[in-house]
Amino acid sequence: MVADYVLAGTPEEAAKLLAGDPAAIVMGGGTTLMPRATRGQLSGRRVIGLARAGLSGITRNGGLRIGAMTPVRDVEALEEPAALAEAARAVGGATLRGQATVGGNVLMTRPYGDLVPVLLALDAEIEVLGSGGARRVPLAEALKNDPPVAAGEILTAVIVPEAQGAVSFKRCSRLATGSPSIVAVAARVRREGDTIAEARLAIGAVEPRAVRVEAAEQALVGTAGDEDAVKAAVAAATEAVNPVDDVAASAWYRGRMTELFVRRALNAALEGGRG
Amino acid sequence: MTPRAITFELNGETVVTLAEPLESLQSVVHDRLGLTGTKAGCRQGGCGSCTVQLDGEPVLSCLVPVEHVEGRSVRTIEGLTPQTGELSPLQAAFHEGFATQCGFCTPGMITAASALLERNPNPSREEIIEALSNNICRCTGIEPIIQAVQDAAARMRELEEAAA
Repeated sequence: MVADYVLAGTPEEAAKLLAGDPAAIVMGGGTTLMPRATRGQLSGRRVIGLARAGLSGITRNGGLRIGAMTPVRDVEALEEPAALAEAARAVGGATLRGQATVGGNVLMTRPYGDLVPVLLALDAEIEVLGSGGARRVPLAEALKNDPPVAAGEILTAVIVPEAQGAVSFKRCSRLATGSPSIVAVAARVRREGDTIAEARLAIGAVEPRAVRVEAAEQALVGTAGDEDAVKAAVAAATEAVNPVDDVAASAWYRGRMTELFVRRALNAALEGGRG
Repeated sequence: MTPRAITFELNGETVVTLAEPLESLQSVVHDRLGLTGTKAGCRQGGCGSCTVQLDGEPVLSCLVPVEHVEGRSVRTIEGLTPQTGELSPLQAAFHEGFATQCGFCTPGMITAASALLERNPNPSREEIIEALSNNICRCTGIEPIIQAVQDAAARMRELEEAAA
């Protein structure tokens, strides 16, 4: 049994509690931590809950500010960015999506957070709160650290800029719903005239943390997005990732599906980006 | 850490129960309060057999710390069953349509489906599939279950019209 479960009333209170007990665990919706608690894997630990910390809600101001405790279900209901809503619908099943939070989805590994590739393609930032105050970090930078949020810090919000260009999301899984991703790919393409001025390619569920593949992005920028450019980008993406083995798929299969789904995501973004 | 007291509404009645920190709502309802309809299947949010309604919304109760239901309203399969000894239209449709076999998933299916019919009395087949996407049945297959929800929805609309 856990030592204690404390529900913080504000993000500041949660950060203060965490500063007072660095071994404490922060819990959001509970969808990944509750099974661990039930199995006795959090024995003796203090758990700090964010459920009443006032971190749920989406505000729109050009882009979006999504509170870390916002249920994934609320993202599913967004009209824009459509690719983010689509990724939200890929999470778990309908009931779970009312309990799983955006913050948890961003931080979790295995099963992998399906929102993350789209957030990376949109150049999202995260807002974290620690004893030293609040700071904002590009999500792509944060994901280079493990864990992405430093010890003693709490993820409070995800900041999503307005989408520039066309965004796509394509995922491979055994079943349409309730099935973990084998690979989840998001792409964004912004054209100036016929030429691609900016490209983003992010791949989730293939490595422990989702990654942006800059080599693939560079293979597209300055081209017209023709077949050769897509081929080069797909090759760069496939080359760049180091697929993991897990219960959902072998590393070999993940590699093959990465190739296929990167191509699909790029083609979808390129089609959406015309006109 | 000693167990603490939690107060919430269960099937319309106020209950006070002791619970360990981070004890799941499923464990409290099933083991402490003896309402055995809320099954522990996978205990990790994968099977849906522990589905209950929390303030009318379906939740996987194995993933809900009981502290989160303090002061809130929980409805289980027992609370969805008429006290007259008859079956609800949804239960009757499951029974008549052979949508239940071993019965282990049935309380979760009915709890999730009943929350759907509460907010959408005339769901499409796709909406039913979506609403039951967190519930697994390993006996009958999902087809008779989808059909039973459709039949129950039709029956409930008839009853509603007759009453109006």
